[in-house]
Formats: sequence, C-alpha cells, structure tokens
Amino acid sequence: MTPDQTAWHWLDTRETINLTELSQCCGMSEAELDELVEYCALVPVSQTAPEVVFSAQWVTPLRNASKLRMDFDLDMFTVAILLDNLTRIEVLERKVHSLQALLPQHMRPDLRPDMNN
Amino acid sequence: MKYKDYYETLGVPRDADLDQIKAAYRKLARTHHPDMSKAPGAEARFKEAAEAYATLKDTAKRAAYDELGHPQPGAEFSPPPQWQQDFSAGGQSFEDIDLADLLAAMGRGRGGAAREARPVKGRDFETSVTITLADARRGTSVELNLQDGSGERVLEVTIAPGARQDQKLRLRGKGGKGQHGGPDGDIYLHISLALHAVFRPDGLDLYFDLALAPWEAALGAEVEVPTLDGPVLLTVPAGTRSGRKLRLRGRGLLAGQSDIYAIVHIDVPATLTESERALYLELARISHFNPRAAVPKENPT
Repeated sequence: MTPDQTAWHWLDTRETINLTELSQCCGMSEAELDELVEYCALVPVSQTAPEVVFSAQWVTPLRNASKLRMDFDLDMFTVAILLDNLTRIEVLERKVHSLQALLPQHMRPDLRPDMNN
Repeated sequence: MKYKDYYETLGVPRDADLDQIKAAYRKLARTHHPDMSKAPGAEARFKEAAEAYATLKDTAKRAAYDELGHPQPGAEFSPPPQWQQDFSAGGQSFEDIDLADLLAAMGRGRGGAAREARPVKGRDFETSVTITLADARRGTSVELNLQDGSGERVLEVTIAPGARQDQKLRLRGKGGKGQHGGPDGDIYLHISLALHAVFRPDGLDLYFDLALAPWEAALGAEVEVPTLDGPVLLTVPAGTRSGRKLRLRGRGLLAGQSDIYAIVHIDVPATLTESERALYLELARISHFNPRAAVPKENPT
C-alpha cells in the first residue's frame, strides 16, 4: 500500500487558525466561540486584524473542553471556567516537566530509560 | 431491535422531569466518566448513561421513546410503523439499527424543511506516536495505519526537526468522509519523546548530569560529553561548583536554536588509595576553604 504523504500543521504558536476552522476543529459553533472570547477564556491573536485569528495552540484545549462539555452537559460559562483551568493545568504540567528535567537522574525513580536511542 | 430502558439506566421514574433527569445523569457521569474512574466497566456504564440522557433530555425524542411502551430491557421490539416514514434516513430497514442510532437520527431527520440532510463533518481520528530524541532533532517520518469505513489507509507523516514532548499535529481533511456536503474530518497526532538514557528534554533544550572529580571542578578541565550527534569536548571552567549548568550551544532538539545543559555534580572516589588519601589529608591541612561558611550557626527555630 503506497503511503499517502502529506503536510501536517503544528498545533502551537507557530500557526494561526481562523474562527470558522477553529469551530470545525473543536465542535463548537462560531457563536459559542465568540462567547468564550467575551468571557476572556479564549484570546485571539489580534482583535484588530481584518479577520479574527487564534493561535493554533487553542485547538487541543478547546477540543478537550468540548468533549467534557458533551460528556457532562455543561453550559458555555462553565466551559469558559473549564478552559481556564485546563490551560492552567497545562502550564503547570510544563513547569513540573521543566523542574523534573533539572533533577538528577538518580532522584527520578520514574525514569526507566530505553538504552537504545 | 432490542429495547433499552433509559429510565432504569439513569435510575429515574418514568415521569421524572428534566431537572431530575439532568441531576441523575450528572451524578452518573461524575462517577463513571473515564477521566474520573478507572474501574472495570466504568466507561461502558458512562456510555449507557450518555445514550439514555441524549434521548431523555430531548422532548421530542423522549416522546417518541415513550411511544414504545415499557418492554423488558433486551426484549426484541418493532418501532411504530410511522417511524419508518418519519425518521428513517433513506428508507432503510430498522432491523439492523441500534435504538440509540435511530433516536439520534430523529434529531437530524425530523419533518418539514429539517428533513433536508444537514452537513455533517467527517470523523476525526486521534492517534499518537513516540519518537527518539535523535529523530526529534534531525526530523523523521512515521507511517500511521488508519482503519475506517473506507478500509485501511497508510499515511506517511513527515515530522520536521525540533519536535517537543507532547507536541500536537493536525492533518486537515484526512479523517473520515463528511456527509451531506460537510467537511472531511481531520487527523490529530500526539508526539511523545521516548525516554533517553542520558538526556532529559525540557521544551527544545536537553539536560543531563555531568559528574566531575573534585580536582576537575577546582582546576578546570576539558571533558568529553555526549550529544545527539556524538561526543564533543566541553570546557569546564576552574572553580565550577556543584549544581552549575554548563551550556552546549545549539545542540538541543532544534539545531542551532536550542541547547544542551550539563548539570554539574561533584563526585568522589568510593575508596582511596594510600597516596590519594595522603594528598587529601594534606589538602585538608593547608586549605582554608569552608563550604558551610554561609550557613547560620544558630538554629532558626
């Protein structure tokens, strides 16, 4: 079977995404995303650009929030709070990861390195 | 088609109002959601509750469901004849349809103008891949095997140099086919970095522990250290203290733009030869160095 070779997009600050596409990605309507912007839970790259665009790093937390919204039947205000907290958790996890990288290996019993790479 | 008792699933009476239904569902979701519970069967229990709630929270679907009466759960039943006309997309038979799918289809196909099929986005796929630090630095390609309604597909993913832990990638429009003019789904790829025997990544930088002998730290030295491209010589300045970070510029996961940091710790021989012991004793005798000079002598409590 011939592999289908194609280009991928980084979901981080290197790329931006417009409102329509963000809506399709995360399963929320554009009006619902506007509501999250009003609550300041979702922040566009620039409000003044001809088209409102967002950092692609929002895609993953919005998809996670959207799934939890469906699973728990949450309203948009709760989703806004949830999104704030999901973002905080991600930032804290990154900080923990950074601090763990500074710890000497012998103080990290969780590390079981694969010696082959 | 097998009957499912959605009221029993949620544990509410058949005349329960919407608030009771919502409260019962939320309680079950809180208990059995896969994020909350790892108990065996929890996910299945959550899905049953979600299926029941999807029907009972919708007035029209609930009314249609109530039309079925109250057969025993699991009992075979036939939907009312008008369901075929009103709700079945494309006039297909009910025989092979699950009750949940049929009720879900009602929301999309109910009478009048709404009978025109709405665009539905294709299914998104989420998958993950683990790559080595060396592959992350030089870039790599991996093959993904995807199985969906249209059969098996192989996608080759080119991962550019400089991938980080937990990096996410999106491939637009390569997921499941959209329906009724809806866009095709996407593929989301989660990249993990394999644990490495030496290096610990932090973003695009790499850290490792560099052990130095006391005399190397005190006098300075050139020591061979590992990088992902092979060993290099690192200059250790004289007077290097334990915990200091020494940088190898440009040797991180994104060549030229990220670094390797050697975190110094000073090690001592576990046993000393006679001559080593004599030299250390001589050093202790003549040195005025006190590493605890800055430590308060009084107990602060």
